[in-house]
Amino acid sequence: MGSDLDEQIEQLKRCEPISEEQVKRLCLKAREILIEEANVQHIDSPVTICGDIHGQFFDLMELFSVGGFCPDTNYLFMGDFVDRGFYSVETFLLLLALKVRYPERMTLIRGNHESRQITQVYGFYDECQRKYGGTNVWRWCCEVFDYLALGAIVDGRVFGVHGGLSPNLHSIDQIRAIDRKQEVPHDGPMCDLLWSDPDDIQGWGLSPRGAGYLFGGDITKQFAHTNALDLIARAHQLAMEGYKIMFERTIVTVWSAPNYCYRCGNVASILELDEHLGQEYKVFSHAPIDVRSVPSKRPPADYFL
Amino acid sequence: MVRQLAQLREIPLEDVSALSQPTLKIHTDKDVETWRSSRSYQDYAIFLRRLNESVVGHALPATGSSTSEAIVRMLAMLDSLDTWIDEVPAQVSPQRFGNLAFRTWGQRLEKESDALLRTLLPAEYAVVIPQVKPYLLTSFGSFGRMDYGTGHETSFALFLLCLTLTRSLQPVPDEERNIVLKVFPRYLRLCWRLQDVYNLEPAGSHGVWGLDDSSFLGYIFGSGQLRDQTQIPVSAVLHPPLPDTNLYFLSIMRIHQVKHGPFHEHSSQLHSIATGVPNWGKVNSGLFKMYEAEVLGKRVVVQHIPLGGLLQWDEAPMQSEAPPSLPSRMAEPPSHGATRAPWAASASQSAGHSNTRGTMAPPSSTEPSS
Repeated sequence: MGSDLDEQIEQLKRCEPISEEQVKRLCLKAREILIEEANVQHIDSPVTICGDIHGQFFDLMELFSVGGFCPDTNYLFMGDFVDRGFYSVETFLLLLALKVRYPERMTLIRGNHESRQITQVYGFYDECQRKYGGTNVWRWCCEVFDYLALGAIVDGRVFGVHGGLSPNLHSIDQIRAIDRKQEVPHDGPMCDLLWSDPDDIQGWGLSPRGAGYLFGGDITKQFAHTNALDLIARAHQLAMEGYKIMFERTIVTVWSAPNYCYRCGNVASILELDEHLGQEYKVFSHAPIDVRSVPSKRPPADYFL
Repeated sequence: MVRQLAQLREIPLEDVSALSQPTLKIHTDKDVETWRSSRSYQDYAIFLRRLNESVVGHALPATGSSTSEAIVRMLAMLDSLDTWIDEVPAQVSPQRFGNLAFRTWGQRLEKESDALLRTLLPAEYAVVIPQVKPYLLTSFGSFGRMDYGTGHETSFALFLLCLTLTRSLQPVPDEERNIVLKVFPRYLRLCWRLQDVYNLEPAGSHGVWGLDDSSFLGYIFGSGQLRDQTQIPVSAVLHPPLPDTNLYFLSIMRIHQVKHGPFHEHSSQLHSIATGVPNWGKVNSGLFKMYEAEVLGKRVVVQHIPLGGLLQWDEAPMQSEAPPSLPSRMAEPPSHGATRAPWAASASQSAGHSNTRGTMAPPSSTEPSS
């Protein structure tokens, strides 16, 4: 599969989807690799940590031009590869192909959008149908989602997770006890890791999202202390400046989708951790419009027949 | 071509006090089915069809017909809600994307809604106020989630439906045209300003695969305005700037104002319509089917609509002149921001695969009658 895979990576880098059969094989191969990974995957520094991408393929290419391409750079992507954007298919498949090709240099953990139920509401399902004329690709990708790790830990000192903390989890060891190979549950610790948000409150609060919790600075500091962490890196929330540091530098939100949804006017960032876990945030803007592909002729939906 | 339009029934004021208070009735996909065969769904279908027909061939701005006192008061209410935005400025250094000042605006709406409605309605309509208040309160977005979407837009349309069922507004073409060409654009501008000032997120979203992040009815009414003419082709929308002559163009220009990037990417459905649908009749009829399937047929959208009062929850009687049911198959999306859990009772709008039977599909002959 080696040279085939390199060809597929080249094709995907041009934002051209690979064939349905190739997707099927890629997804199978990816599952074999992911099944061996821990719920909280260990990573060695140096590593570059990235937040939400949401199908913004050309902005992902900007990210790589700022951060270096895989395998030259070691990456941790903290979920939400798909939904909302126009190129979720190309984005997720490229990241997955890189994962399969360079498993030690590419860590993908699960975001709340890597879920059957959410992708049916926020666009990835529709995109697969439109681009492949059926639901196979969506189904295979969702099967891969079930195997993605829930978190990652860099040198034992920086914890990466998509959303945040859970009132049911006090230590990283407790995360290891979760049976993660399933659709994201509506509640419970696995759900919270993917859905929660830090907020300027004390203790725990109800999340306006309807899933996960809000957690305060006290909770964050306690968790960092208990688990001997320097930093919790998470994504999940738009940060207009690309990142947002809270609670005396115990937690940071890293956001990697510039001009989110074509409208938010935000910049994006990646967090580079060097071999001493020194932190450098690199901020980038959205890709220039002229690099984007030309419109392909897609028929209007059946309603208009 | 003269279309036979179904009449909108009247609910006499003396019957209103006996009605129960509207409550949340839709919890499951099965409930969505019940809603789609309910009396209120049929009333709403007739109401929208009538509004649509009233503006065929009529451009913006509305001219000519006299404006009733009810319409004048409705516009005044929307004006005053707009001035509240000046009085409740956005907070500086907001914690999140959505601005918390929107909650203050919302608290004011909750506090003053009775007074607003007493000003809006004649004294004998006092009995109607508790019935229509829930729809007014949910017409401008969710104050908890700080978002806005097609479900809120639908609430406003249902508010107008309630006022028409009780004949505060009259179901006659002149008044219906004023609802679409005067009240609705005023409502849209208010909602756009709320979205801009308080950074409201789109409530739910199929992302780029939805028709529009937050709005739907403007596209229906706008394509209705353009339906029976051929000078302006459907593909005209690909060449902005567009004149403010109809609600479709107005809605497209709103997208260009807030979104930056290739139109075919961020608005792929609208692009496909502009390049692939031959005439405005097909756009108009297709949008009705899409609205039924993607907005009214989605539990995550309609679960927020209180029902059971003026908008009756019981089954619709068989009606011979009811428009034919056309199946609108295929899940094809409307409307983004922080993601909501679609299973949460507090979530707002979008997919699931619901089905299909409906009463809103227009008569099949909607091609321009040339």
